[in-house]
Amino acid sequence: MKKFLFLFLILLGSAVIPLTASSDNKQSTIDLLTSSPERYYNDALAAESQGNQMEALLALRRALILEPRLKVAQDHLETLLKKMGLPREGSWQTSLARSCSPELLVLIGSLVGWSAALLFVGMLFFALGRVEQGAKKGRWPFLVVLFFFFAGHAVAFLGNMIDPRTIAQKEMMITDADQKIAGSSATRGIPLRSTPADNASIIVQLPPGICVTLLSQHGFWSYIKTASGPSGWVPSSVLEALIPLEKN
Amino acid sequence: MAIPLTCSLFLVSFGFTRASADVVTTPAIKVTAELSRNRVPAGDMVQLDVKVTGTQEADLPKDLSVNGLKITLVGQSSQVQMVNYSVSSSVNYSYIVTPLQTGTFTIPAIPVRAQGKIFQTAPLQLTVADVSSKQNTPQVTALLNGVPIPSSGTPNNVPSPTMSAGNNRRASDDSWDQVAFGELCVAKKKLYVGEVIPAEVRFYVDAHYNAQPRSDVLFNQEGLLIERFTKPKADVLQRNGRTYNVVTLRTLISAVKPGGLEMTPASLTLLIELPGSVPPGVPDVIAQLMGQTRGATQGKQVKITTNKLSLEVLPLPQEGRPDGFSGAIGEFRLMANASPTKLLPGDPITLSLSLEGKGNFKALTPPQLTETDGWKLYPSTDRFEPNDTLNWGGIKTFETTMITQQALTATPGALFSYFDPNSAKYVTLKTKPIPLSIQPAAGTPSPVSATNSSTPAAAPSTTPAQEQLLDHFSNKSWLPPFYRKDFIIASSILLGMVLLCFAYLGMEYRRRIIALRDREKLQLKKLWEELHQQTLEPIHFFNKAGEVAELLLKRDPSNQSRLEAILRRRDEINYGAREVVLSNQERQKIVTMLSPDL
Repeated sequence: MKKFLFLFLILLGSAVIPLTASSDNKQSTIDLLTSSPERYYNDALAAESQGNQMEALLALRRALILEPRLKVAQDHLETLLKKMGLPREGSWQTSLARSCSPELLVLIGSLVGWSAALLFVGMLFFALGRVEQGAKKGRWPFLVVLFFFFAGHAVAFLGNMIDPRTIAQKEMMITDADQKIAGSSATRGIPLRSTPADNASIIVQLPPGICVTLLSQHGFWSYIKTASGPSGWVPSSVLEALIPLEKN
Repeated sequence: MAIPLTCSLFLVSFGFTRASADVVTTPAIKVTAELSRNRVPAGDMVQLDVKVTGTQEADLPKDLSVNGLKITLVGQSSQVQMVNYSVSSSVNYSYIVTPLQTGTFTIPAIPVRAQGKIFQTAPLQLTVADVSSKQNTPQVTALLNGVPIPSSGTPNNVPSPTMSAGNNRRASDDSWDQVAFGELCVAKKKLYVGEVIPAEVRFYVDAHYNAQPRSDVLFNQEGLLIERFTKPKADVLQRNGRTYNVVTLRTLISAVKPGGLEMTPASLTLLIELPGSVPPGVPDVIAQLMGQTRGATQGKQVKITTNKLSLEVLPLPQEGRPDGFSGAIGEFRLMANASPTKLLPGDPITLSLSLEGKGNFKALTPPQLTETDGWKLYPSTDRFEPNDTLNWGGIKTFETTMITQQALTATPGALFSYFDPNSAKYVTLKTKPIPLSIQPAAGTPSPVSATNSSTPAAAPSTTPAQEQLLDHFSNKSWLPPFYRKDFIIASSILLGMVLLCFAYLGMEYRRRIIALRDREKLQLKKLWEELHQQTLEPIHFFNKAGEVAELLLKRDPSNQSRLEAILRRRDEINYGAREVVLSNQERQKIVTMLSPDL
């Protein structure tokens, strides 16, 4: 009787996973507008038609963070990057996320992993019953179940790893919002400095529109790492979070 | 034959000496400060220009604090050049420096904030001399020293003093006012604040006299901005029956404040050389060739001044002032031209707006563009082509590069407002949009509604699919599943349950193992007691001893070698044909073998 009670509780618990995956539906109408990839795509088109390429770029990136498989946004982003003279973006995580939904991977991986865990527990219960009888069975069923347990959770972690929302937690876009940055210009970009000071030596000029990783903040300065490698300081005012701050 | 000194043409290159200092702080930004003059008489104003290159925008203090000087920012102008999308720009800020007392002043470094960084100009020195020391301004004199005054250009129709021997005119015979004098003329005596008008300064020297400059041309006036003089022009004129060598200097002046203005006369100090007589016995021909005898001249320093002038400076009327008026005063005509007019979306187009006419071209700003929706505009560049030496008239052309992604049919229009001083009215010029032929390129974006980006709208069916606005909205969380609270809670519950199950299983397993061992212990105890019963049949004794040995082996298999003999003996007795004999010695031995584990 105890066995069935435990199994029932675990099955009940595992049912929470798919419920959590669809819990977004509880968001309000305002959230719907501000977290819809299609809405960001429309914003990007509107911004570009007004000549605001930087805003269009940000909106397209946000659309693809929310829905990495939005093909029209992918194509438009590539076109825009080319038009702005910025390097094409892409990594194995992005490529994988575009071919397979990260959220689906997390969901399936979690279900498989936890199901295997439940099965393993159930098998242990049955094995415990045989302890008194002194019977001994092979270990391979346990190993198979353990394999599914680890494989399922590995898939879930992979889905989380390639999820653009995970990657973008610390991602920032260099903008040209503040043209009065010392040493910056429309043609040369934003200077990446070695220390958080206006007169610090310039490591490299960052073209507006590229993405960088925020490592830390110190007053009005942010310590960032660029995709090409160098790290340095830029004024925080030139950074725009890819994920809207209020959503963080 | 010696050429008379007075035959040389004097070209007074009147110019404001400019003290300048450059501070180069970065390759991108360059800040320069210049004074129009570094030595002025008390009461005169000086223009201080701060030029910032490499940016279109900079912040400068409106007033500079220098004890004894009043320095006020009066205006700015900017220039942008774009060649192949490489933009170079500069902005010029003008200050008016009004000395409040005499002395030498140091204008400190002016802080210029550009692109978020503070730049500084180099300090400048300004000497404000007493009015009595206006003449012999060293820098100005240096420009004139050695440059002979054109006393005649020796025109054929002008009689040389030596040619008319015996008729030599002596300065003592003439009034100095007739030998050398000056004239100041302006285009009109009633002008508006900011209006630019030509002014002319003429110095007349009797053609019969040698004259050499001993000072700069002094022409300064409080309340007036005076441009650089043009290159002096020499001429010969007849006036009141006398022949004069005339030097004409032209400039542009503009008033900075309304009200009556008494113009200070322009002045020039000359050394007039009085001709000597021809030595006796020298033929007229030789005398003519010699021009005159050098050794006989004597000089007299004379300061010649121009007439005074009164100007009436009117303020610009407030009535009818257009919103877009930016200070342009004069007469202008606006022309627009676009190139190319046939293009593809994304191609750049240059819209040229030309302002032709006369006026304060330096203060002109680009005409205001209208109907710019759908265009991406780049900063405009300008160039000025004067059609006179004063830069009063000409054509100023503003070129704006624009890019559109849409199939628009015309360029933006333009508006330009100026004040016409002749009619005393503001005038607004307009140009119509220039028709364009923009062909939609294959696969390029189609027109997109930009009116409301947050409102979904269905795209026209003719537009490419990838550029259509989306009209169905999905709902996504900004947080990945692993960051969501509900997912974390659910996973934690599952993990907790699994751990609980494991804990329960562990405890249950332990309990069952213990119970099993307890049962074995009881069984061993019972068997051990039975083994000690002397009445036990031999075969039963061996069976019970065998059971005990098996239990002990199950508990500790390392005793197998010791207990194996007991098991073998039991099997022999059970499966052998011989009669079972069990002596007391053997019974004792078996009990002893089993006893260490019990």
